Amino acid sequence: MKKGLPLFKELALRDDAFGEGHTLCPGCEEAVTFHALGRATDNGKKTVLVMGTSCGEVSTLAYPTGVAWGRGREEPDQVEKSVGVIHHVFESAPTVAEAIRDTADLLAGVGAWSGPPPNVVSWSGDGGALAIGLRSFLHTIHRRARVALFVNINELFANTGFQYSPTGIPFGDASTLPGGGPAEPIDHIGLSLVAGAGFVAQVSPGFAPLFAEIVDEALRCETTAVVFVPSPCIAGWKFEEGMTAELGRLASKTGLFPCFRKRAGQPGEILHVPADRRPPVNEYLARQRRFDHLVRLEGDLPVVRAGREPEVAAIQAYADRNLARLSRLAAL
Amino acid sequence: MESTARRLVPPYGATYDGSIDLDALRAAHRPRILERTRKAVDGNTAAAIPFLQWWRAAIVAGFPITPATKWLEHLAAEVARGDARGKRVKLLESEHAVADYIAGVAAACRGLVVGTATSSVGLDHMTESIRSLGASGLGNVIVVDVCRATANYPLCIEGDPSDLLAHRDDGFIQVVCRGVQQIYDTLLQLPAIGMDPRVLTPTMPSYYGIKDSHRSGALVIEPDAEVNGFLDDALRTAEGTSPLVEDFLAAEGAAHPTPPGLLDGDTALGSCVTSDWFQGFKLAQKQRLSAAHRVIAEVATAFEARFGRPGLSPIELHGFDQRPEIALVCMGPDAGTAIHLLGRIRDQLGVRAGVAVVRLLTPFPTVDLAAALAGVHAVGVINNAHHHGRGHLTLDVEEAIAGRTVPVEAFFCGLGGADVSTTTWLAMARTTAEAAARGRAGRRWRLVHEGLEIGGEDLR
Repeated sequence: MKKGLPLFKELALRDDAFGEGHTLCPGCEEAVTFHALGRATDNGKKTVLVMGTSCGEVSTLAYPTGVAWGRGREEPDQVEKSVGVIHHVFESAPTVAEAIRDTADLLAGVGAWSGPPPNVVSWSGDGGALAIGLRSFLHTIHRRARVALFVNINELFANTGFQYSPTGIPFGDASTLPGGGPAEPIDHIGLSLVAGAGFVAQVSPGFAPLFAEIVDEALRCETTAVVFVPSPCIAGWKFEEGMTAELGRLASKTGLFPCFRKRAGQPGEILHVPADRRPPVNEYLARQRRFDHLVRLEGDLPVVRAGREPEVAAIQAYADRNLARLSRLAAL
Repeated sequence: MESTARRLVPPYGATYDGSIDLDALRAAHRPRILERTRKAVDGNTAAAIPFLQWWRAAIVAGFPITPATKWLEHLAAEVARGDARGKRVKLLESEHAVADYIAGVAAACRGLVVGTATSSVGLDHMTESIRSLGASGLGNVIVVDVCRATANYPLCIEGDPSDLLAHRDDGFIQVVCRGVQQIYDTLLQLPAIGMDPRVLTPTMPSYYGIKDSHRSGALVIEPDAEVNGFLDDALRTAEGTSPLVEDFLAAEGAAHPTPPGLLDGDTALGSCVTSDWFQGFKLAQKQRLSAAHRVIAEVATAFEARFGRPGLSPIELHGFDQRPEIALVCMGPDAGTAIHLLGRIRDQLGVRAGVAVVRLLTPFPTVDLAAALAGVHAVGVINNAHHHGRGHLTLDVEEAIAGRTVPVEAFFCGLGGADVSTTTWLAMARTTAEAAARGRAGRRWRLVHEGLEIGGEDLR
């Protein structure tokens, strides 16, 4: 089985399922993720994508002139190339995906579905999965449903105008929480592991080869796979064009949203966090205007605003604790 | 995989014929009832049995809530006891999850019938997803509502239809049943109506909690072969030869086959649209719901021809062959008392009365009811659920006879499943007869219990 760059190259040659006509924001990392998912699911199996209301839903806003989802300009000739997409309410995507898997399994059990088991992918925003939909999310994992749950983490309810989300870094500006608050992000990885996921990962598509590996493994998982995708939001975080992938990488390197991978019953690993030269969090914060009240850039250097040192120190302390916590989770 | 053939289904995408072999699912079904059987069951069981009999009902889902729980328990026990191949009872962590789940099953394979039963706050908890389902075109969804006073203080677990009435706008075809035979027979017909390509609208059969969910009666159960034959024939007929409702994207009269499912199709469901398009979707939804009137009549005719019992009628009429002077319009199990009292009303009050029992709540049978009430001099409308004004049912009845000067008395009784006694029915009939004599209603509304008017509001 190929891994890393060879796998990434192989996937790049497959047929995408996310095409022209989408209406995501220019510079949105979600589009990069969707392209990767679209290619990874071109694996000889039927694909069903369940999308809980989130930014991702905006990808179809050009209806009916832009289709966005689907392999090719026309409906493909083979069912294995086809894509079924259902948009359902915010918190529902994991449960709807579970239902589709159960239906496919039941049909296969009586010989009514003779093809390979389909790819069943659930897509939620962090608000949809971890705030309003935490119940749905955890119980689908608890039932060990054989689905791949992808959660886009942009730390905001971005779809509805950048309101506070429980995955947000402390003191990040949000429309419903100006200047942010001290609450640290919910422990989404710990919750997923404790609920019983078979595979839990966190990775930004900014790390393209690793992202390809993790998506591929999630689709192969025989029980619930959970993939968190830290996803810089150009409209909500307010950063310069061209910084999307770089901010995704910085989120990992600083320890705020590190790349992580763990299979149930095996030691996990934290990836793409340099042990010796881990950048301070203000390198990350300074490039986003949602933290402009704390840190600003002077040239290319982050400068903490006078009097805001305690908040920046608190964020740094959170990043440090986050890495320690993930190390403990990896050892479970 | 068996060979599949792409069939374009504009504007929905494509279906891959052969990718799902429903004949294999049909063949896997183990019939439970081999010949017509008579059995004493309660309402919840009567509503559960069809899901055991339909080969298409491969998956049901549920979460317990009083007074609907036995529906789920019965199915779980039966499936656990028998050959589980081709049948699954899925337990979820909440009603909301149940509604999400049945949406997934129904969308995955549109040839399946998927259902659940709930009540009161359970239905409320489903609301977000139920409203999506109502607009989805997934006519293969059945949500059984065991009516119970809905979420309000004080908590009451007994049956009134305030939950059902609170969900009038969810987009479902809502049918009210009374008695186990009506419950069972209605269930048998609903997928043939909801899955008809002209309708494609989910259905919500209902019966009052406790009074009907927990009351046992004699039920004639038809053999599985007939139950499935009826549905299969109805769907085959509808797909092939029925007149076609125009889709907002297709030309009038264009083919309107069932859209693809997620597993056997290349398609999208529930996409985000702008307001420019939203209204078109809503228009199509209204057209489909309206088409149910015609399809119900067709399905009811086929049902009676096959099983020898009356098919689903939008309203039951009793005493209308006697040219009634007053009509009592009601729904639910207490109608039986009123029907039983028709002779006594005539003898004691000296007035000919008719009882119209509403079965089809949504879409409301306005035309049928207007025709039935054409000759009466006053109408008493009996509401069993709390409403801020003259009552949910009163509003619909008044719309049906709009433009006529017939007085309409609005009654409330039986709230929270309270008894509606003979004295209450007689009191309501007397008040309606007085309105007929006077030529106008006496009060805006009245709450009647044990024959006494215990509350009300004067007309302004």
